[in-house]
Amino acid sequence: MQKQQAGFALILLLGAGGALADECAFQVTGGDAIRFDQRTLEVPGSCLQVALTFRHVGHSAARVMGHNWVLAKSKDVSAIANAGAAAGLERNYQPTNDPRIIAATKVVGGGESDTVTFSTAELRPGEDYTYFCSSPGHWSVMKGKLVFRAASKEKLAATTSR
Amino acid sequence: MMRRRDTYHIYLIIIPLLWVSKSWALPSYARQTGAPCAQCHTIAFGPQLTPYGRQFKLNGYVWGETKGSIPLSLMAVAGYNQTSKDLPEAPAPHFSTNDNFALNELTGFIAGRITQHMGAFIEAAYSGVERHTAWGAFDVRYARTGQLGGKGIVYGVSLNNNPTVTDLWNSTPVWSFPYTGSHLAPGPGAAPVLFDGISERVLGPNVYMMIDDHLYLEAGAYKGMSDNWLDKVGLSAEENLHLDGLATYWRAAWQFDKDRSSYSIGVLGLNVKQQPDPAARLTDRYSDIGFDATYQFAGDNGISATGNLLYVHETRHLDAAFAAGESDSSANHLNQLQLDATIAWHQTWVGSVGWFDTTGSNNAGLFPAAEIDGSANGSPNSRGYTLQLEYVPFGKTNSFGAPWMNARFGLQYKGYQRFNGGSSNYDGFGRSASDNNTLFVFAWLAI
Ligand SMILES: [Cu+2]
Repeated sequence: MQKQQAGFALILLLGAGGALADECAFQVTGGDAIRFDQRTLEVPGSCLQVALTFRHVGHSAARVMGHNWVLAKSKDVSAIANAGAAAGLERNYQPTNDPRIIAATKVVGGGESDTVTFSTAELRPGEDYTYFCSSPGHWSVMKGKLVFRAASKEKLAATTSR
Repeated sequence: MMRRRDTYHIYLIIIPLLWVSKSWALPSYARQTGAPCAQCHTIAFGPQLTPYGRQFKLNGYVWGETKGSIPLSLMAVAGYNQTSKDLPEAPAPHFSTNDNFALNELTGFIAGRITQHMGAFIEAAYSGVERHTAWGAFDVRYARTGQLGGKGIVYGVSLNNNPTVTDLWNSTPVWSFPYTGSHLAPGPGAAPVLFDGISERVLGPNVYMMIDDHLYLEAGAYKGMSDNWLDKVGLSAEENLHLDGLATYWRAAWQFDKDRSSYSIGVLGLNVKQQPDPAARLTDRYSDIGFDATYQFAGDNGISATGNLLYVHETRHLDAAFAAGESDSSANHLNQLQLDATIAWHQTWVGSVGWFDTTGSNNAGLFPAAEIDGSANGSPNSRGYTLQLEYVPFGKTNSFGAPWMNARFGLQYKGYQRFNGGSSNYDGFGRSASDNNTLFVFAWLAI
């Protein structure tokens, strides 16, 4: 994931604007309550990469009311969340090297944010994806659906040839 | 009231020692987690759990990165009690026949993490009505997480003293509406054993598991406490249930959520067998089966709503009571339905309405005529409603004095359409059901 982040930065640095269109960059916020501001994210099939920024707009420290943004297949959420609660804050409430985690930010406190960039190569249209916060118990409320839209062939071709 | 030996008969209905209410949003949990009470409770302070609150309890009361927080809390409930018509006698020593101010309870709690995977909810309460201290709810649990077929599970064991004290939803008796009430007003006589019928006089382990955050399963067994142990926890030998074998409890529930709403449906049961006279070997058996459902909505605009339903059917085989001439027949039944709905604005202004209906077999032996507490026609049937308005000023993010200051101020009105079998002259002494309608104006504080 760090590699991807670095790669993404490089692309931006080279001015390859458009590789990550606005429609492929998302921002989700959370605050001092256990709640995300959005309950669905729609990712166009034309996005090869997605940049997700989670911003903590509250005041609480990470150890009190820290949040993150974790993406997984919906069927894997309960297993990842339970293992994450046991992993503790120092591991960002995430089981180490869990292949079921598609993308995740670190846990942040009030005023902080973190961005994760991930490839859509392993996302499948029609698959049921859930994003959630893996701070202990937060996932019972802090969660939403990520929908990966199928790309029309022309659009995909247009994007890749850019 | 006649009591053979020193056995507490579940069918004998008035339960003064169990007036101690169950509890609540505990500031010590808030200090441990660093989260305001409002994260775990739908109303910033009070027992109704949010989905996160259910997770916290399920996982053993252990979450929270705050090191060294002291797991102690203190709570008080006091209020003004007024029944529609004066009682013929004062309801308790030191009180008058109406318009009483009373300290319902002053309760101390050990509540919080004990070890990494073990936490507690233990209360000891002083009743200002009885002027006596006894233990209340006791739930010490050990919980772990794991996987089953690729799904996350939480499983654990709880040592506790009351069926449904372990439960995660607010439909089941221990944590159900209206959470507090007058301790000086007459209450309907009959209720299935699941409604605190053996509470605090038993102790036993429950094992439980939540699978994929949807399916909850629990089973438990309780042993009746000896005279010696009852004495140790502030109860008396008169409260001894003399259980024959273990009382068994089981529970299954399914929960799910959609958008801002969460739902649950479930079933539960309790089986209790008493043997009042060891020489006679006859027993009184109670078998309860219940169905419950809950609904919860937490809107983005500060409006939240909850609804709970519970229906319990009890079959009774009172061979011992029948042989002793205290019941007209061996086979009896009792049903209880209760519903409640609450709407809250910013977890601060709260309106609630509740309704209950108890019906069962006529039995003049079990339900004899007696002033106030009796039934003229030998019927356990009661029906009534509760209306409640509350103001909950603290307990939210950035609240004044958080997480120490917690208070709830309320007006509660309980009305009876039918009381122990009748609406007028229900007791055979000329009292109407509505004479027992009760206004309770209360303050409920915790630190
Ligand atoms: Cu969170």
